[in-house]
Amino acid sequence: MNHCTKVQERVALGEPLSNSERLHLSGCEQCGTVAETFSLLNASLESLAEPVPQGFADRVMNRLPAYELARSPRWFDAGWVELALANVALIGALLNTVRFLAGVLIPSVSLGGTP
Amino acid sequence: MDDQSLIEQTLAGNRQAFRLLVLRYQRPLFRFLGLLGIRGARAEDVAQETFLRAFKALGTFDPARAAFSTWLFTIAKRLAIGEWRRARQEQRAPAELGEAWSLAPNPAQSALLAERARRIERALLALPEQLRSTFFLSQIKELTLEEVAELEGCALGTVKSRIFRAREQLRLALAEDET
Repeated sequence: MNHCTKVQERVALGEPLSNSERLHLSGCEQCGTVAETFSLLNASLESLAEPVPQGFADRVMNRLPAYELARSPRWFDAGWVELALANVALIGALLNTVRFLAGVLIPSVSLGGTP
Repeated sequence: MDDQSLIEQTLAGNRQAFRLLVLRYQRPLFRFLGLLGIRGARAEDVAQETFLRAFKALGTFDPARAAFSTWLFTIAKRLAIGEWRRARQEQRAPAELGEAWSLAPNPAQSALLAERARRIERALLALPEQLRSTFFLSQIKELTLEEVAELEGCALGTVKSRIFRAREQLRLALAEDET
């Protein structure tokens, strides 16, 4: 990588230049033009930024209660409903397993006991 | 007061602490949106939605995994890119840049600045999506390049390379104008 490319890359990335690079910039017409255009670009990009509308933070804060209200019922209702349903399903599955095992084991005992 | 203290206070029920977070990040957020061409009422909608979603999910934020700024801009990026794509599909013109330059000292200068801004905006729109996203995030002074890399899910070197390429394309667009 030649010196011009290196300097131009650093200028493009907005990285600080060393003394020798600064010296090169002031003496090299090509690098100087590149740096100038980047400086123009930075200024133009700065102007594209959207200003913060007045009272923005207040408007955000005013909308927070609705979010909290929306969050609370889900925590106490929907969450517990889901948990309860999951528990019911688990108990159902356990009962079915017990019934199945009983169905398999009990007849074999009774068969063994029948003459 | 640092972000983490404000988050803890917010979670403990102190709303004013969240207000301080909004005040701290509103400017970089609007800057990000402005670069994307999202302005006026639409910028306000996206910015509000970003903070409200952050508030709603604040309990899930894990400081061990990312800085608050990175987390917040992950939400903002998702919303903003979605809005940007929608605007592009609907082929709505970007915000009226001419208005932003109307405060220039004289009409000739105003026209020159407006033309320059339009050229940059066109060049920004023409950037490939990956470059554009990384470049916009890099313009947020509150984010380090390491944080941008985390947000973009790529290496720091890739971020630097993308920024370089994006800026080079913009510079060339501007240089064409000036010659």
